[in-house]
Amino acid sequence: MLLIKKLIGLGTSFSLSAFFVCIFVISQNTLWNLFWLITQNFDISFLVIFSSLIHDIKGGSSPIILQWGIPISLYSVICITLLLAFIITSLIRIRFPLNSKFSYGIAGFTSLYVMISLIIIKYDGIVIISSAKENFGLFVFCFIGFLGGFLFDILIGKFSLRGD
Amino acid sequence: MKKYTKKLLILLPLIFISLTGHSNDKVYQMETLTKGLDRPWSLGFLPNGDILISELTGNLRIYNSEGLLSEPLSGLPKVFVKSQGGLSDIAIHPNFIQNKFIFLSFSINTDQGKTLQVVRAKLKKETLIDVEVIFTAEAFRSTSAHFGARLLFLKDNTLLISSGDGFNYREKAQSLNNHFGKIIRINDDGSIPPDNPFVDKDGSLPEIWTYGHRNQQGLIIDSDGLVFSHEHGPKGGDELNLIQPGKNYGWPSITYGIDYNGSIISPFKIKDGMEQPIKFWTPSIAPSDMTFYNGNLFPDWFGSIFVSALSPGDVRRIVLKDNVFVSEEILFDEIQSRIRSIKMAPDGSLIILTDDAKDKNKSGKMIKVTPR
Repeated sequence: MLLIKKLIGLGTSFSLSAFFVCIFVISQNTLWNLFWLITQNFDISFLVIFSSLIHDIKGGSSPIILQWGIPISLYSVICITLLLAFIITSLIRIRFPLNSKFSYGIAGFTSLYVMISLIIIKYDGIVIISSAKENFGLFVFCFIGFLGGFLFDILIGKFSLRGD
Repeated sequence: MKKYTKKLLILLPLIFISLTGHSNDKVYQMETLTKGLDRPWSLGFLPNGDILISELTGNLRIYNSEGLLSEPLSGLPKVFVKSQGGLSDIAIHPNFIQNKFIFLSFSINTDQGKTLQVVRAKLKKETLIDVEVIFTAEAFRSTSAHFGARLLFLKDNTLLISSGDGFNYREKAQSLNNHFGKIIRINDDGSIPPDNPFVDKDGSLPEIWTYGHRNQQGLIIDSDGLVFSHEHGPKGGDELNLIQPGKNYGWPSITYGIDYNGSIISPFKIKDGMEQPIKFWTPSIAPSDMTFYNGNLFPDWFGSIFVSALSPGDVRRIVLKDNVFVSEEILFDEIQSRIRSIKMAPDGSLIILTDDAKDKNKSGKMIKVTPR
């Protein structure tokens, strides 16, 4: 019973942190695109921002990569990336008792960086997340991963999964 | 049993008539002229009836009037071949008989990055001589995509060159200080025509003719001298445009497409000072080339624009009236391949090039379409 409770807690923690990262990565991309339009003298109202965010959050589930014939969405790529990163971190933490918040945070940061780098390699330099084309945007993109890892650790604590 | 046999005997001829009747609807027939081409990209017709064929992998070949395909021509410049980069378009000088000039566009890799280059060379039998670089795009990039690379001679013998946005550099299509997402106009020696629209504008590159493009791979001139271009949109939003000097075609400020990750590139489709397409395609057809039909073999098709498409692989016959879209007919989808190029031959037939992006077996074909 305790194991099931732990697994549900772990799954919920991961889902919420991955959801957070997905939404913020998409929102960063949307706002980056809209900000550029402001520099081009477009009138960006609150309604435009809101409707663009809603559109893009929905659009994130559309396929971006066809791997072995399977269409994979940006959300799936982010979730798989974070899942691998958190599993590796938890294994490392068994051997090395690192600060949990920062270790998961760094895992989130690094994993998103590795993810975007692999996509760039696969597509001959093409960056499919436009907000990550420039250094500052790339840093913000990875920092969202850091916050995701941080949140994951907090949620694990909330669900009392640590130290049992 | 007898009853059914009788019915069948009546039905069979009807089925036969309807089937053959359907196939007779086609006004054309197709003949494969040559196969085994390695990612063919474009072709050009020489006055003696030979056809020059460019292969993205860096080779230029001649298909002669006797139906023989030559070995790769010698004397070609070094071409950067990767992804969408490679040897691209061919343009034959309008005065080729006198000067023997041909023009080639291709991608190069330099210390500054990859970009588009155009050379002029003389064709001597199966060799290029006097190869001279006449244009290098100020569009250096880390990507191997969106070079544009289409060439077109105007009636005043100036040369138009389409230069794509490099994918990661789309915002630069709205600035006039670079060649990303532009149509360029130069003289046949690479010099700049004094009547180009931005020659006297500070901070602008004088070669620019139009701007705000994405990846333009179709460029044609009609009988009246009007220029049309088409360009790949992102996810949707492929466009057919009437090209006029000095105009802004909007990319990426306005677009009918969305980004590959599903997000909006711009929520705007219209803006003052930015041109609207004659037609756009959503979902994308991936337009790869275009030809204006003013030949005699297909009178019903006279005045149509033929757009070749990579996805799903067909040709769109576009009818315009007063530069307004009237109708679209899908043709040649029975080829069941990506259509890389379509050109009207001097005899009025249509010549089609097919390719396969992941071609490992050199399966590109050249197909001739003539009336049935």
